[in-house]
Amino acid sequence: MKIFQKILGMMLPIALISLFMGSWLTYSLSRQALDLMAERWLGTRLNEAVTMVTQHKEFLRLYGITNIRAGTTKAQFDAALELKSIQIGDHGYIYLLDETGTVVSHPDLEQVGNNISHYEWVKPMLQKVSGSISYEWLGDTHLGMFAFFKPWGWIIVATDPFDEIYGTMNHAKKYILALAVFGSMGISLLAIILVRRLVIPLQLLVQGTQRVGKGDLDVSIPIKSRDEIGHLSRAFNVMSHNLKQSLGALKQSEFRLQRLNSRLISAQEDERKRLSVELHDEVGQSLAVLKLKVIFLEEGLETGDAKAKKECEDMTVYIDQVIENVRRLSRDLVPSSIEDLGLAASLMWLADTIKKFYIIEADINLASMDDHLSLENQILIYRIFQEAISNTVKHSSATKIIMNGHHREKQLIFSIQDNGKGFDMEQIDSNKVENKGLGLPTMQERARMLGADFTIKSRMDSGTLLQFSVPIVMKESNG
Amino acid sequence: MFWTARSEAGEPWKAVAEISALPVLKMGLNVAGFNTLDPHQAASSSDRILADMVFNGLIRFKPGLAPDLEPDLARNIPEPEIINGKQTWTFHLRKGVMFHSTETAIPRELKVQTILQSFKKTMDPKRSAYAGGYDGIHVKALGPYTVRFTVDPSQSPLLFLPKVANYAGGFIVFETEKGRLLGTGPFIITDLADKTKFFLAAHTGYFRGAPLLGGVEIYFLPNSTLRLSEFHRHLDLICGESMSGWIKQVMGKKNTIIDSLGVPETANIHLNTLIKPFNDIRVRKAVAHALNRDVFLEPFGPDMAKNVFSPAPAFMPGGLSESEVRALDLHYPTDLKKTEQLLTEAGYPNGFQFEVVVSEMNQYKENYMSLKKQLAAVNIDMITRITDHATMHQLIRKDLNPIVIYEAFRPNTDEFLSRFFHSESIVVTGEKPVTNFSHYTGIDDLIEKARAERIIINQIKLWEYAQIKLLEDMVVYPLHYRKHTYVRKKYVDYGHTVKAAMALYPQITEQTRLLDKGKIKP
Repeated sequence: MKIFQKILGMMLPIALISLFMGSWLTYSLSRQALDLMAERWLGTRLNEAVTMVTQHKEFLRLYGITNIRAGTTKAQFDAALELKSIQIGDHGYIYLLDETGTVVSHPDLEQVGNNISHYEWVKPMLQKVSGSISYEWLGDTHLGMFAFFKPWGWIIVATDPFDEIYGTMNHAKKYILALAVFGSMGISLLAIILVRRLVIPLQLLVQGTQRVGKGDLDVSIPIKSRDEIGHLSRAFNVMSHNLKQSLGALKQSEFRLQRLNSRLISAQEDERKRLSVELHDEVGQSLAVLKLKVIFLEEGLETGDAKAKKECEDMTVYIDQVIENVRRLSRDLVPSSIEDLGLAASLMWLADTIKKFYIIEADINLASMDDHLSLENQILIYRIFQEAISNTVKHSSATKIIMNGHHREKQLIFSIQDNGKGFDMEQIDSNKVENKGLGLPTMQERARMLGADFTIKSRMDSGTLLQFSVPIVMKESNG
Repeated sequence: MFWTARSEAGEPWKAVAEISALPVLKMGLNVAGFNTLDPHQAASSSDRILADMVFNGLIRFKPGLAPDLEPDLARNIPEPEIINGKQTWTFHLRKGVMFHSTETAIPRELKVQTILQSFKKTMDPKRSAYAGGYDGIHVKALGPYTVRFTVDPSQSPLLFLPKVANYAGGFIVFETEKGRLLGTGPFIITDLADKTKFFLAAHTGYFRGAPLLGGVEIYFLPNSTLRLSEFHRHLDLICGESMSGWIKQVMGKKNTIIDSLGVPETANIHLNTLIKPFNDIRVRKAVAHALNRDVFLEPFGPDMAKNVFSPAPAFMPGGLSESEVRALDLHYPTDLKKTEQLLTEAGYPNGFQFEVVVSEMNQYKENYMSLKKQLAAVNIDMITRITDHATMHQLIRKDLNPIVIYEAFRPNTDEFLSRFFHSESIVVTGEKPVTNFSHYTGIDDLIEKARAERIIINQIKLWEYAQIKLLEDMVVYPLHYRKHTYVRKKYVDYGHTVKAAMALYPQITEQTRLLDKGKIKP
């Protein structure tokens, strides 16, 4: 999951929950406030109505209008008329009841004169007190505030349908919900944009790192900000530049080292060859001469000198053994059979030698390959086999070695596998250079010289598999 | 009575007309003559018509659009101020307003001294019929063109402003040494007059501009048939009748327009509470229950008259609506059994008889005849004696009628109630006898409290309560209000919209003109 998806996944629920909670809280608080306001509002209108009625009643007293029989009726008529001027929203109104519950004044003239005392909600109003009620009237729920005007026995009621009181709020509910939804979407969109703006440089850094990982050290991240990401990009660019320089130096050093190794191995082969020749030509010839002389010496001895003859015969046998050892040593130093017999035959000879000199079963399976390898490469391959078998013999306590060489596509795949005790690869890798033996690095270097992929797989008590693949290079035809 | 000073020029009105080369409007009125040329004495509608054309007030009711007010001789309609604890109203006069000139009086500019003199006359009961309305009002000059009224106790604008408007005592007059009254209006009273006609010449120096008419020739034609016939023969404009039969004769006539306008006059039946048997409230209520307002309406043309349910009608501040009067159970529904019961209780089980004088004017005559007929149904025999309109006015003011049907308009409810129901206004015996025909004294306190009330809404309520008291005591039975009807030729252009006029006629102003007859489509 990408960073912006993570941030979005984290922020969106929080934003949604916050907005919905905020909206709900706003709605709830507003509704509570509206309840209070509605009662106060109606209370204000009711007070206004009571004040009006009182003024009309007081008018008679203030102006001494006492001798007009219809005076009070007139004042009540005026008061009822004036009460109609009190506006309570669009649907609210003031109405009047007398003490018996008969409607004295009502915006709906058809209600005037009706006795509504049978309604349960009217009964509290007939108690000649002030208060508030909520009631059903003509299909609507109303909130009503009422007061008793004792001088005229009037119950003055200020009322308004709930629909109107909460109309705005109910209307606002939709808007609040819409605000929450669209607000969340807006915040999410904003978060996406911001996160993407934040992540794009990081993505460039990731791509840059991947390219560096693949060896492309020419990577340079554009620096577009001075924030932490900008600093990181700058540091990355410096790092890749330094890496490039270091790698260049390392490659040069490696190149030189490889050349040195190649020369060393060539020199070793040359030296081995010289030694082999020396052993074969000088020591071998000398031993042959020595043997002949011993034979001549024996032949020159008296037949009675059996003891001397016996010594000569023993000496001849011993010289033969030495000659054989010298020959083997010479052959080991320079597998002259490669030149004569080719790689396959040399490897088979090697296998025979193992079986002959060590108590190890050796199987060998080789495809035709000599035509695909130069002599130098055959020698390098032989040496890898030779070193591997030497390591097996020395360290693995193996009882069996299987050597393979076969074609696969345009490669020759070689492997040497034993059933020995194996070893811990990590331990081998972690050993200091000075503690490592020369065997493995030498094999790796020879493989490198072959242009081969070289792998060793080994586990404790599970044997070891060494494998390398050599590209096939067709030998030029002599003819 | 005519003012008949003669001019040395012989026939000056003709001369004026010829000189101006402007047409003269010929108007026929429903009276035999003017009662007075003094606007402060004008009571009849014809006298008010004359005053309207000749005189101005400090402010005026907009022509044709009463009761809207606008400045007239004054440049402003002030807001009241309280100075030294008293309410004051300060007016600033227009400059250059000239009074009418005569052969003996040199042209004179209107200045503050004339204003003071004019209001001094208005407030003098011997020289003004409206003096009673100016109690507590004092006028003083603040400069040659500034005049201040101090009103104590204070009055609402509703009460005060009509008193300085072009109505009744508010007309500004200049009285010459010879006692002639000069005005500043668009038309000048000329010397030429006889029993049949009167002539007003254009006042070319009128401050709003010279009139578009050369003058106005007024014909006295009390007979409605003759008046209509003269209209068809040569008159441009006549006072119409509200009677349905008369209107039918005019409707649809070629080149003729009927104008129906307010402010309407209200007809009330006043019952004399001192004269037997009407001193008994049961008798008065018996009479009320015997009557049906709709029957009184029958003689009048459609929409010309409407029932009213309080003496000052509902369209005036303090008037009571039908629904209100019904809610108060003071509408006295027609109930002959109730009448019979009340008469029996009062000791008149067989009814009674009384005598009244009746004006020859149609609307009066019709109302009285309708009353007579309805009372007869409950054995009350009302003997009627027809007389001319002016005589009827004189006789009813001598307390001759136990029942008076009076049709009137007053500019505000205070005037209405004060003139008809305050004890001071009781005919014959009152301190300032005017038109309290019922001899009623029961609402003096309410009238005075309302007059002193500065809060208009309270003032109106006090008037309402006063009227409720009148109805409770059945001092007056409200009948109806009647619009005024005028008939004109199509080419008469008043120069303004005609909806309502305090002068009780469509109002002839400097803007009134006679259009080219040839261009008028029939």
